[in-house]
Amino acid sequence: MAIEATRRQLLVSSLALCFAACHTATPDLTGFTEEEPPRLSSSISASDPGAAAQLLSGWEPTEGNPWRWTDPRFSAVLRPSPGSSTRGATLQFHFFLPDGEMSRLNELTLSASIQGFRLAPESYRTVGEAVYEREVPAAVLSGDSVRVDFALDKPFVPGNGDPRALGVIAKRLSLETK
Amino acid sequence: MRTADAASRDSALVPAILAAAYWLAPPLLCFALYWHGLLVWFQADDFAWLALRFDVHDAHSLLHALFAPMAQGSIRPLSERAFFLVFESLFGVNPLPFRICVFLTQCANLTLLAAVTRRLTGSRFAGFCAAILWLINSSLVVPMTWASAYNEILCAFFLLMAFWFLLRYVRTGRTSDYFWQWVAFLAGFGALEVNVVYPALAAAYTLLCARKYFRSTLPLFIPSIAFAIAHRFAAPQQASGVYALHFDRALPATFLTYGRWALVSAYLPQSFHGMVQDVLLTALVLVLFGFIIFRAYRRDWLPLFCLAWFAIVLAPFLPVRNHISDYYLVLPTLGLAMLGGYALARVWAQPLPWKLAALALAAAYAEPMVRFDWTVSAWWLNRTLEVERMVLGVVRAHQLHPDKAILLDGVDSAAFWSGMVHHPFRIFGISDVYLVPGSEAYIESRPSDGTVSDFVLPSGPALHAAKGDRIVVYHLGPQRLKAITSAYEEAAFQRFAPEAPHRVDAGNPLMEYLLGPEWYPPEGGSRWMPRRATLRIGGPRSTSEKLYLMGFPPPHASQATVPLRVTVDGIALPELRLDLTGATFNAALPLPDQVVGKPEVQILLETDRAVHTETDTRELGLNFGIFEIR
Repeated sequence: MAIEATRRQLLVSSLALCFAACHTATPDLTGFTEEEPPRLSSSISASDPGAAAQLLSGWEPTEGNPWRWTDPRFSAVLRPSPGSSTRGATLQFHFFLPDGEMSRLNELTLSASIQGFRLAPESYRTVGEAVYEREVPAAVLSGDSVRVDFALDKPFVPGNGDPRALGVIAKRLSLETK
Repeated sequence: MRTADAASRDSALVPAILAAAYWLAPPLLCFALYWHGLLVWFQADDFAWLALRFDVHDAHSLLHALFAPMAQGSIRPLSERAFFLVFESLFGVNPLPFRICVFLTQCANLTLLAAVTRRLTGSRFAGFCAAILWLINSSLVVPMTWASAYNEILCAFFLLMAFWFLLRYVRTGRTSDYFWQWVAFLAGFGALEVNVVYPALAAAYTLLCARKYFRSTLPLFIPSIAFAIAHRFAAPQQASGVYALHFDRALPATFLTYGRWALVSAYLPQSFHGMVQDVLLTALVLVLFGFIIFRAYRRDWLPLFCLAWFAIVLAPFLPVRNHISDYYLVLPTLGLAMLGGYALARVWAQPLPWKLAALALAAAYAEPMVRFDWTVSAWWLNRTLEVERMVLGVVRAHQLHPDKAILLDGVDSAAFWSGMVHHPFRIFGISDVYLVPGSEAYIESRPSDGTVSDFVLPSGPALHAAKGDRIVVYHLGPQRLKAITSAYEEAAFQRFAPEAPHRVDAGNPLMEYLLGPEWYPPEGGSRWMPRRATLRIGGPRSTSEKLYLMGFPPPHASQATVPLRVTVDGIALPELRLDLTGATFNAALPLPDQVVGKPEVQILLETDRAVHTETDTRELGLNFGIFEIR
């Protein structure tokens, strides 16, 4: 009887092992795709840690926010969006102007250049969401990456123990094919 | 003494080895011949059955999943529903356990067939030959390489099992054998509808070979008749399509086609050794009919019963004249295999020239069958591996790029019709997978099976999505999916114009830019509008083109119809009433001549009716799926 019981247990254990061996809930699928080398993004969110490498200079830490302050001068690198080298593109910079800054500065002018090509500046006078949008000629957008440089005409120093010279609250920067 | 003991052991060992070889040879040959079938991946209908688990939430939905008519009205709770539900629950999307189950069932079938034929003919050799002749028949290739065709294999198991117990009952008269015949017979209804013919098989056998037991087979007709009536009510007969039944003058031609395929491989092209094929077919028919007549003359009706098996089991398939498939011969050819086995066994008792002639004919039957079994099962394996590369490649791509839609380039007709058209990605919870624009050009059109363009992302939305970095593009290569996003996008902007598509899927996030700001976020492939909403769509190319609308009525709609006013580029169309009583609502609207030829038109939709629910306070007008101008 004991032998029978042992055999039965052995059979059940074997079956359980077979099931366990066959059951692959999350199979390793590495090798089912051949990926491209990592490439820069043509659209970056200021708070995205994955895009941090594209923020070259003049960017403050996110401090856990879905945005980050810039310095009065800041730069980033973008991948020209597909087709932009023949059609041209639109550069868009979405940012926010807080009440504290605008009440002190009244007006703020943002100018930019892309690969050294100067884009027309724009002035802002109202608090809240703002967009800097300029068309970029196709000739500027050849190559795998382009450098974008921004400059503000005035710095914003928050005070109250914060000695930093800040720019604007950056949200998103992108190049979009026309 | 030791020599005598050894001789005694040897004399006992040889019959044991022979007995083992007798029973093991057909299953071993099965593995040797169809080993490709052990390695195949899923394809075609398999994906619908693998997705069945998403419909099971409780006992009621489980019963519905097991017994509700699906896929052309079939009800196969054991061979399809339970088979996929149980194996997927235990093993996930891993084909090997499915395949092992199919092969083990087939091994049981081969053993049963040998045992049945041996019992019928009294010849071990006949049983062995029957198993081999059936195994190599090319009708078995599909069931041995496609999980969804397991119904044929499992039904063969129940038919043979029931018949085996009938033979035991005829021999012993024991009620238990009669009882187990009933159990196997009733279980067969869970495998395949054609199981209804079993009472006719039992009656034919007893009438011809065991008259005393004929009356005992008559009660078997009751479940078959009840099943046929219930099936007719539960799954109404299809009036059109490839599965529609036709009781007309085509029946004999269909029978002859199946008869030919049963003896000469269906995969042999007629142009290939056409004369040889005809000679072989003629010889086989003459010999088999000659054998039947000769034995009938000797008042041996068994060969006639074997032929009756073929005809009886084939009969339900004959009216489906537009879907003649070689694997429908799996069950009928059991009868021909018994007949062939019996004939070979009788000839084996004749002088050498008869034996040689029989061997030559058997070899002539077997050679093309085996050759094409091998070739075709290898072809099926390669085809499913391409589907596997595509499906698991997409799953991997989704793991790497969870926020992006996936576009596939290089999907050929085989991968599309065996895989993509059956929505394989949804079993992994992935929905945003499309073919690159222009894929229709290199995928064969099969209007009865689906529309390729439904799976293609039009060029306008593709370019728009590329601009927003919302897609990744992969090429289906011979080894794996290869990411080609950068190169493809660059070429796409050179090649395509950002024109509005003629088909707008309201539930597709990549087409959201074509919808006005009024629309709510997509929900499960569709999207609600409030009382009023707008969208852009490619304009009609000719005056014959119409605007087609498809959407989904709200559950428990309070009204049977609802008014909808449609305006196209400011021109109001006649008001229509949408019927909300079906699973979907559909409408087709003629378009004004003024908008013909416009690259893009603006559609305004307005309805008076809006609903709110206890949990959703939004103003819900209508829930739309597809807008199309064609």
